[in-house]
Amino acid sequence: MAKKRTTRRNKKATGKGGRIMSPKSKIQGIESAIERLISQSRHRDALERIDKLANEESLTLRLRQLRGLALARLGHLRDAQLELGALVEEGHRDPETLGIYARTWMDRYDKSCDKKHLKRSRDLYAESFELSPKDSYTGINAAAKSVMLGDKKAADEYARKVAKILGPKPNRHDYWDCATMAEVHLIQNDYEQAGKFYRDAVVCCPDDVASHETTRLQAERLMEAKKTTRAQRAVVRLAFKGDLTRSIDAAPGEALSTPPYRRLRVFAFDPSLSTRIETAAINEITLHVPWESDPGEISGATKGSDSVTGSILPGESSLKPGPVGEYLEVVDYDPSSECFYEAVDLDDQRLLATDGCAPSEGDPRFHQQMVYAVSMNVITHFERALGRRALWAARNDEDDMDADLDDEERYVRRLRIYPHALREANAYYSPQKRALLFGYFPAQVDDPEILPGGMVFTCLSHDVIAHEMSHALLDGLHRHFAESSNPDVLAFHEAFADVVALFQHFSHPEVLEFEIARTGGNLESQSLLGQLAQQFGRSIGRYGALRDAIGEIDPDTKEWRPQIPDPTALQTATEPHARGAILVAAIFDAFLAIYKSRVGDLFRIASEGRGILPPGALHPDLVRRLAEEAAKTAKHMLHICIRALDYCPPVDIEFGDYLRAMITADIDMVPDDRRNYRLAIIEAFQRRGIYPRDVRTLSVESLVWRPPRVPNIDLRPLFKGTVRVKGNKLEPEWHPTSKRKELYLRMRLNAAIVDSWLNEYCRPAEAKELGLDFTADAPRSIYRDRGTPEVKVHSVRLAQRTGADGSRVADFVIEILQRRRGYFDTNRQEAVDKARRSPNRTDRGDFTFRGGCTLLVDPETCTVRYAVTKNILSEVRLARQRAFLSGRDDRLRATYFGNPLQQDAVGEPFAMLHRSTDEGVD
Amino acid sequence: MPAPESGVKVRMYRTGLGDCFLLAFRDRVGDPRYMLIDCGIHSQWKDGSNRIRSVVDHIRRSTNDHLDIVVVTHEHGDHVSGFYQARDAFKNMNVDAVWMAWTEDPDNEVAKRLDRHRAFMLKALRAAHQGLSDEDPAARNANHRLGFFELAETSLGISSRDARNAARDLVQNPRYLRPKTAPLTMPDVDGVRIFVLGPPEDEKWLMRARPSSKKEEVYEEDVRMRFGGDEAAACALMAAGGLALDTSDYARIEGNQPFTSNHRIPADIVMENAEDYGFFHEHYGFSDSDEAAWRRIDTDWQAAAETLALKLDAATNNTSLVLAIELKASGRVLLFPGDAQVGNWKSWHEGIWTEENGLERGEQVSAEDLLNRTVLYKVGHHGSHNATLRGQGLEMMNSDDLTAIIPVDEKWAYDRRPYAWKMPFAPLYEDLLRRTHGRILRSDVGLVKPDRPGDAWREFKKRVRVEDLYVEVTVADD
Repeated sequence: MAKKRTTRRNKKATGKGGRIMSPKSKIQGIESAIERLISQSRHRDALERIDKLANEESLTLRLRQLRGLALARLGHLRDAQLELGALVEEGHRDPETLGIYARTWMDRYDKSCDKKHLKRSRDLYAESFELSPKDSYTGINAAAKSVMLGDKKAADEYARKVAKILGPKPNRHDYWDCATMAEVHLIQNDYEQAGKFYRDAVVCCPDDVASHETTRLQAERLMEAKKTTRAQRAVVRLAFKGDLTRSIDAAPGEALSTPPYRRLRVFAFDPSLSTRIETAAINEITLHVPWESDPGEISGATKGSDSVTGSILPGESSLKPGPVGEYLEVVDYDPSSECFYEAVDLDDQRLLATDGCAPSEGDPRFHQQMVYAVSMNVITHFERALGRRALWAARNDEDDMDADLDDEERYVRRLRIYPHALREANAYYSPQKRALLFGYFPAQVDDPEILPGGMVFTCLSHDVIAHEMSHALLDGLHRHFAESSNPDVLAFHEAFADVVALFQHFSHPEVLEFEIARTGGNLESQSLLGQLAQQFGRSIGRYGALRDAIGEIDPDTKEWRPQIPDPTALQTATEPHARGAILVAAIFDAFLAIYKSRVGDLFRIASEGRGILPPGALHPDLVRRLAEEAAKTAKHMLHICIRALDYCPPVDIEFGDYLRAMITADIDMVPDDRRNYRLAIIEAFQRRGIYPRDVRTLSVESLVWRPPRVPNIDLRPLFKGTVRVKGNKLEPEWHPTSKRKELYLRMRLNAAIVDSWLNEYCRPAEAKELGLDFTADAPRSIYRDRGTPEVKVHSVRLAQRTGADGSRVADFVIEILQRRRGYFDTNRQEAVDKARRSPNRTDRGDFTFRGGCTLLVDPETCTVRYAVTKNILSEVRLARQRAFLSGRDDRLRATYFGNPLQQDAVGEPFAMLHRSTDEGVD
Repeated sequence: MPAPESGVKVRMYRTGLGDCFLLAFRDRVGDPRYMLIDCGIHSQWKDGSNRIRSVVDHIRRSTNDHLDIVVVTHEHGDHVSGFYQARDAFKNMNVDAVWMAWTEDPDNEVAKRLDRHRAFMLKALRAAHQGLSDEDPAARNANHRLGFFELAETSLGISSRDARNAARDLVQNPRYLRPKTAPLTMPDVDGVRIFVLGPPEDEKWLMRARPSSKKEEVYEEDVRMRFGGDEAAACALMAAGGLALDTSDYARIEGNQPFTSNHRIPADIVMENAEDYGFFHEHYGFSDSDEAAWRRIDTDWQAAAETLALKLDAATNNTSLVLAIELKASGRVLLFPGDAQVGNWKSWHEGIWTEENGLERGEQVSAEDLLNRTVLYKVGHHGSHNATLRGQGLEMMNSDDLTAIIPVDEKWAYDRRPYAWKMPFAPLYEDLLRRTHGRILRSDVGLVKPDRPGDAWREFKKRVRVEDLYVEVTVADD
């Protein structure tokens, strides 16, 4: 970031050459020639010349400095640091050497996100500043690095010193003086003054765009670190905008604040459905979608025109046509029609003025808008519930295709969305492509309830979009939930996606109001909502199928009635959709019970205490309040369901595990269960026969996950910096405003730290308690890496909870996994397990059996609060998975084509799951 | 083949995966009368033509070149191929009558419409089969699967349509049968009535190949088949495929475009104009080396071909002619359902036979009644899971004398690659073993020996004859 400054520094150094130079004029000439090369960014040439010289004679200090500088500029940080580090070691602790060396540590920090590197950089700048206290350059760098370190006190002190050097009236015609002064003000929280000085800098050399950019990015980083408000950022950003020859005083007065939302219209119901339920009145709703305005990733690692650009005004949208934003890229290619559809530009003035395109089935641009808007809504719910930014599943190191990628390359920034990818009544999330594929098909001619002849677009169904998005987000958290290791895993994936779709739809009170009003005095709130839930999911068969267990139309009375829960249903249901339906019904029951308790008072008020409403239309206020309560309850349930994901086992989930996860997560978030949400959830699960495996009685206390039985697992090294690996400790303050890629890289780094902790500190007995075994005599079927059992830290995330004093605290969620070869033949299994040598690496077994744990770790006390384990050594669980996988799945597709649900299935797991249930409209 | 003193002799020719049944009844003067139900072998059966020809030669010898009735259940190769493959042999035989389902009637409007649609789908799938990319795994899988449905012309250059026509042309005027019409008889045979149960005339049933609710109707769920919704996919397959198309096809392809032409930017134009369509080049990418290639979706949609093939297959199965042959004295029933699937089975229970449709005054017969009395069940679709209805089907076959006869070759079916065909389907088979006390005849093993043969089975064994070429059982009417 301080690139140009170093150049300036070179000029100075050249001027005062004698200070560090060899007396020989020849050498001096060479040195200045090389400085010139460097100032022209010809680093490679410079390096070549230095290295050539090095063969002939020993290098001067200056040449070695320049060599380090050139290496650093070329990105060869390690070599640069070797050179400069050696100089410093040899005692050259002069400001120039220290300054360049400090800079390389900063560069390293940019790559590693390791605060240790940042601190090193700061300390070196500080040392240099102390050596030459008149050098504002090293001073301001020491100040800025202190800000990033969170060392406010030091930052203020350095900033004050720098201000003193520059004096009350710095030279308005020196770019660097102005920029430095601006930074001082920024650090001192005087954004208006900062803005003015930045502007002065820009105005004094309006053409030096590269310097502007360097300065601007530095300002952005500081503001990021300081968590500056949007309005304050806007003031600073304004300095780099507009007519760059005019000073800030002439710029227009108040900066406009960044809009929090973009308003986009979508269909409230599937257009194919809207003819059926009498919803003409509310055929469309307007969604509030986050206003995307952050400039791209700071590292600028992404290629193409969407990488960091300096052209964004404060608060100006960064959403590109497509729409392509930070999370999503909608690419409208229709391969079966062999054509593309023009990408919508939601920043077009005409669309900004009208809340986006008007809902229309015939315009693909509206389709793009709708998938984008609804998808962003799902992401928002996930981020709110989890208290952190959403990440997509990174490219997997177990996939052969992706095996040789590094962490940067594994990162998948955006989910791809294809609104018109298929010509069938299907839509799915592709875990291979990190993409959503939506289909379309002609309306069924023999279905009286849908208009014949028209096309039905799955990408225009709110429920379908939310459902598929949930698959993608869940896959981002739990990659192994797409592996069917027991009858619940895929069922859970489906049910979870359906629950999110359902509650997200319900969270818009507008869509409920009309129906509540329509039923008037006969309002029987529970069945109304149940019926609505089913209707919303109907237009495309399989999405409704999961809601079957909620209720049905009575064949005699033709009235809808809720289904009476059957506690034995789960035992007989083997097919994923049938099981999923039971989970959906249980969660929906809980929702209804909570809703009922929330609106009890409203009914009593409205009925003047009689509990029976007077005949006739409901009062509109009552309708609004009821809808509001239902929407609020839906949102709460939605967040409870999402939050529970952090408390799930990493693999092989069963419904009972999810119940425990929901209860534990909710206790952590809402310690005081005033409205009895938890009891409602437990009761609903109980009525559907969903029990965790090893819990005797169903009560809140018995369901909460437990800490490991070995109580004193020593986690302190994780937080004390004694783990011997880059970055060496987990950073709890790593905050939610960070860029997503940084978060991802930080997560990888944290995973490496935990991995190292496992190697260095975790004792075998403790590991076994966590469901792991990496001792030498572990069963041979466990995959090994260079002889020892392989252990993978799958992820390290931060989960928020409410602390004892009501404040928000963050726990680490650590997922650790091992894998093991499973064989259908139990004799073979035993033989492999007891063999003296591990099987060949190419032997993948008949199936993969995974085990491990999810740990919730409190960084304050360095203890494991909960350990959710699936033991890798569990022979019972292995036998269960074996029986499940070798068992029969026998739908027609399976008859001909093998079992799509088993691990050996080819291609798209969700596509097959969807195709194999229901090909048509129900 | 002599007819039994009483009742009927049922001979299953062992054609591996394929149906071919010869039934012998005794007429008033004591001569045998013959009914042939289907004559086919699966197109993938090695050297199938020769096998079916030797079967037909045997039929000629057994019947003295005279068949009273030929029944064609439906237009699938494994039920009709022999009529074409052994057409020369059939030319030397006297066939008095051919019975087919009303859905094969060239003058029936509904049948014509169904047939047009079927032909269109078949064309699309054939196009797909020939034209789809074999490089992409998704398309390759779909393509492999298409091979199973005998869509492509067989190695002999015939289609199942040709074979069905060969059967139809055995007589001048084939008889097209409708359900719930007056029971039929065998010429000059007393005490035998033949009830036509399917295919249903109501399209609602014809279109149903999968159960609607969670109640388990078949042994597992099945695909549901709806033609309308598939047309767009079929059109696209056609356009992408390798067959020559005519103008009406092109019109249909255009009619199934989701958007009007002003919204469409043809892919080749986008591909060639990187400057004008930078967005798509950047975000979709076209070169093979492009790092975005892993996220492209050029062929994913083609997997729909497989779904279409499944539906088409199920649709044809549902047009199966279903006959219940009643031996009047004992009330015993022999059920020949072809490969009927859910909708067909369910439709049997709509309406009953009374004097209005040909019964004697005061007599009533329902499908349930016939199922209750069934003592011989020709298991549908080689014992797969989806062609035997559970609740309103097998569970109603509660006669203690029930025998099951299954034209199947388990090893061959399970050896199919890349995916095994589960025939017979194990849960169904186990249920059959239980309900029949082990009385099961199969074309691969002949007489199935139960683990613990009881008296009932030993009695049964006496009625059975197993030869290399066929398996035979007699059902007496006493």
